[in-house]
Amino acid sequence: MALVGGDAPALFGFANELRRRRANIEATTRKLGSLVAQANWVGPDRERFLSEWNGRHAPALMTVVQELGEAASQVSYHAQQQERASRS
Amino acid sequence: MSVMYGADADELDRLAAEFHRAADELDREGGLMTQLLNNVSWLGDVASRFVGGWTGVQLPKIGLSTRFLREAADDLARNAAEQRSGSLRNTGSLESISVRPPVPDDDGAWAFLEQSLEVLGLGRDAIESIIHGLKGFLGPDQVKDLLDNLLTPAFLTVIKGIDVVLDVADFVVNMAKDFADHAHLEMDDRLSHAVLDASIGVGVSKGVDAAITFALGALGSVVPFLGTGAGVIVGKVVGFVVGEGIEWGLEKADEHYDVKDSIADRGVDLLNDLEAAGEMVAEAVDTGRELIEDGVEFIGDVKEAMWLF
Repeated sequence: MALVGGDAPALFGFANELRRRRANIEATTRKLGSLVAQANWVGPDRERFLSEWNGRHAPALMTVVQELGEAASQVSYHAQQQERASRS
Repeated sequence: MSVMYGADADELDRLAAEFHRAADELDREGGLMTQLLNNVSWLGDVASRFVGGWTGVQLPKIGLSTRFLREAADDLARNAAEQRSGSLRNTGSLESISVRPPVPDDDGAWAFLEQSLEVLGLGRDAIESIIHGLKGFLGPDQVKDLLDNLLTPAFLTVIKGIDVVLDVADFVVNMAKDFADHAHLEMDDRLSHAVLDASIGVGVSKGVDAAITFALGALGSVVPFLGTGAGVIVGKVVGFVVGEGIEWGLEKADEHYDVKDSIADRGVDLLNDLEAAGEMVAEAVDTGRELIEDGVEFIGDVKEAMWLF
């Protein structure tokens, strides 16, 4: 049996930090996409850039966003387990 | 034939700086989150799996995204530099929109128009149809007027980006005709009038939603002060009037009463009211309501009159 344990309040705090940073990254990704889309820029270079951004870069960032959310949920879940275990 | 493309180099540089800032921030976030994780007292299988996932999967992905952001920033900065140097690409000359060469006022204006339409990605048939249609009622100086004021690169981008127009050639010709027919109006009013008239045409062929989408995008592009909630109200008004028009046979009525022109006139009045009101939304709502009431009454009159034919 492996050692199990953790500081529940610290874990909750960490989960909240993950969520906060997840929200920041998501907002920044959306802002960058919108800035490029609205830029005074016409032609194939713009189309190429947008295709690269929408097809590769933004999805990579959104994967990070999604995984940070999942990580925060895991940490929160584990913190709840800790609290429950310490109460029983 | 070369095609005119371009960008505002300073704007691209500002964008590049935004991307660099975002990359630095993401770098910092990754480091901070790792530091926070290391400082949390957490032991056991779950903790080990999480830390393994963090260092083996999440952190490398954050690193990759940081790299992507820097690549994007470099790409933008390179584009800005190319704009400034005026270097040539295989697609044609790169010119800044803000310094687009002056449109010639002789027969060269037609060639210029042809180049501008190529930016839209139109086929030869459509381009020839537009040129042929416009030559029926425009002289070279009027083409210059059209290119200088309505068919700017920014507006062409809006048309290209709004995939609601069944027949782009007809649409451009009709809009250009309305623009030419209203040379007596102030420039903002002329632009609004052409867009509103075209929006109603879009509504007749593609439906109310398409007309609203077009009106919002196009008005926002040519009349900057509409980049507020007022634009939404204008879109709703256009949608309502177009909807009524479709229901009562606007196309047929237009042959006799020039309904589109009249509605566009009222739309321009509304826009001026909005501008004078300093974009106060409350006032826009009142004005919009009044226009809707006028529209109902007007369409009712048309309906009544049509029974006479």
